[in-house]
Amino acid sequence: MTKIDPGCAAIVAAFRRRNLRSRTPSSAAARDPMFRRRGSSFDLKSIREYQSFDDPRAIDWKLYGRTDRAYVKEFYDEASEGIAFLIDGSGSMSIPDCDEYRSCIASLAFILTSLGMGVNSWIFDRALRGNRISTRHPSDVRRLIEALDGMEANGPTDTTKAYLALRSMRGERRIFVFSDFHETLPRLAPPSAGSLFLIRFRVPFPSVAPSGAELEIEDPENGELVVVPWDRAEEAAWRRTEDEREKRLSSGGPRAPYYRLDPGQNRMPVYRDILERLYG
Amino acid sequence: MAESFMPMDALAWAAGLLTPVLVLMFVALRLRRRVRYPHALLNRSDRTVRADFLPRSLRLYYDSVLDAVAALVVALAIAGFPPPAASRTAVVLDCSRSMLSGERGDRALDKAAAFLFTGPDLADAKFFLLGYDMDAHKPTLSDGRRLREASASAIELTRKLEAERSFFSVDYGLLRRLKTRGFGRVILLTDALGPEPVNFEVREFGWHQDRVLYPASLSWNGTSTDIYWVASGGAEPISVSRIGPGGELLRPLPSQWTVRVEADGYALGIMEPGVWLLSWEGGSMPFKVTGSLPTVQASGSLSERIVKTLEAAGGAGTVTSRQSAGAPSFVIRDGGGRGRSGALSVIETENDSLVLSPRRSLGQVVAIGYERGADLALGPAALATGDTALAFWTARMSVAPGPFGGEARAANAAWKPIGEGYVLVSPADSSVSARAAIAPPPDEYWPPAAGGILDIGRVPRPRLVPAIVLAALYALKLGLSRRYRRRTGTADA
Repeated sequence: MTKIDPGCAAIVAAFRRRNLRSRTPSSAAARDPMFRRRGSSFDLKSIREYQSFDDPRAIDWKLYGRTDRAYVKEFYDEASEGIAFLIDGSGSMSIPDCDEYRSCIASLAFILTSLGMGVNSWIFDRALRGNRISTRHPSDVRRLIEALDGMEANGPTDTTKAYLALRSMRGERRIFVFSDFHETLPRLAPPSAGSLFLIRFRVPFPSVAPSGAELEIEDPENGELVVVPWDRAEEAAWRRTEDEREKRLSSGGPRAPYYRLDPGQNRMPVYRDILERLYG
Repeated sequence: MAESFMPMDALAWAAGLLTPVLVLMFVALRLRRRVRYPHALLNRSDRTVRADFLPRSLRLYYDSVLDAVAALVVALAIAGFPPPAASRTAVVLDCSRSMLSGERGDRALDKAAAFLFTGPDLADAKFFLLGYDMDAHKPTLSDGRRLREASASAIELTRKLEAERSFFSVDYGLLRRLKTRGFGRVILLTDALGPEPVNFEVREFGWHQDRVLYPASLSWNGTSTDIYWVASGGAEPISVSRIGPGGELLRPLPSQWTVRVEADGYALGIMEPGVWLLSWEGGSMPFKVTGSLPTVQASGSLSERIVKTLEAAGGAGTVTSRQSAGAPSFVIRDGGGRGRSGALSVIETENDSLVLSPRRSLGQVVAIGYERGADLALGPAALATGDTALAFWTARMSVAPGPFGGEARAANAAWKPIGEGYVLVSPADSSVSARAAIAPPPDEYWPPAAGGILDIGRVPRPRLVPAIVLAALYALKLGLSRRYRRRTGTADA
């Protein structure tokens, strides 16, 4: 059963206060040219009185006729304002703890929607699987949770293909990829003037493999079996490989931050750091 | 082990050999753990070498399966599978001296050669000669196809054999080589074999007793060497000659030799050392006379006492200081170890409750003791017995050279057939005599004793096929191991 992490409400509260006291999130800041435009979607964000810097064409004339006051309606921008979640639903994601994996995604969606940022989610394996799961308000997170609970981890992964499909189809500039990144390291470029968040759910092999044993290792994506003698030398070699993988994943720069979550790891610092980057 | 394939043996061996394989498989299954994990996180490069040509279960347990197959192969090999291809036949002609016994045309060699040309099932058989290489001084088993193919008849083959081969002595043990070379059927053509043939066939053409004089023993009486000859077939000596360095016969002076009749033959006394020839009607035999017996030397107080006693008792030639250069010598020493050639070590002991070997005491009962550091441990009883001197006599005689051989072939010297034997001649030599003589062994002149067996073994089973199969299996194991037991931790490119 997927649950929202208990500390999420506190984080949301902290960043709400911070927004009020200091500055708006970058997604809402005036210096973000994308956000200064009104949205073109039918998703109503707010209705407020006309201000001098507003476009007169945005005045709701029906309201003006009823109230004799000028109001403008603001809509969410369908393309640029939202955040996209790419959720790995391939077979390899059955290895990490499902509850932790789903709770992390749902918690992050809850935090972002609570702070006014809409999240569109897709589950993928070799390609995008199924329809978009749109969450605009915290109450919408329930739909995402239901989708995550019903998600069956199977099939092979092609993160690059799914990512490129999303980029060609949508215009979100903040994309979160949740995966174990087990495949050949995908070459994912962050969106222009946007960010790519790589969140890796890793299960260290030594934690599942008893040392000194001969192991039959079944690949969860294709069912292939190999026999590996697992000893200290093999473990050392695995650690070297992991170090290189980590090094490559974390080399994306400030626009492509990378987070690794091991089983049982406290996720709150990760949430805070993500928000810090979003709020810039 | 069986020459033919024994299915029940194969089953028994397979059961025995599969047991450890099954035990190992069971242990491996008990120890092996299965985990689910993306292979790409172990080694990315392996994704490109995935192979699915084996069934899944076989891929998991291929190691044990291949071990089981190897065990079955070994079991079949032990049980005689595949059976040897023993279809080839070899015919071996005995080229020993005894094959020439008898009248020409009636000799075993003549009959064997005729059989070779007329015998059934011998047309495709390979022909070998069991003979003797006089130059190398060793018995041989050689290919005789050339001689057989070049001969149009048995008579011609016999003539060529007598011209080219040394009819001297043979070693039947060499027939084992034919089995090793894969000849399942070996037929030996001989006069009389004696022992029972095992794993080969014998065609005997009858033994002929030749008229011959053969030297049986040799002794030195102080002035001459007495050689005792055993007479067979009524042979009587008719002349004695010396053989010169080039093999020429020299007439000796009457004073240089004597002959007298003994119980079963003759005693020939020779005054001068050298190579001599004794002739009888129908044959002659070369032999070598070395002259005096080995001198005796003493080393140690006990040994000197023994030598003096032997001299006093009339031991001819037992000198301690008059050793001639080059003559063989015999040393009696106090202690000094056991079994040394040309020496006899003695030691005094308190306990001589044992009996000397009859071979060393000429059958007399001689008390003797035992000490680890000496050949003879002489106690009170041994020192009080006159027959103890026999031990020194036999030891001394063992050093004395016999009438044949004793000299390796030297430069400018060659073995020349003279009479029944061969003489080492050297025409450029300035000596008055040839260097050495050699005669066929005595069993070439007396019928072989029946009894015993002569086993030349079986055709070895072909080991190449099981070896190749096992090598292929283990190559497959190695290949599959590299494929499936891949190493983790290869760095991502």
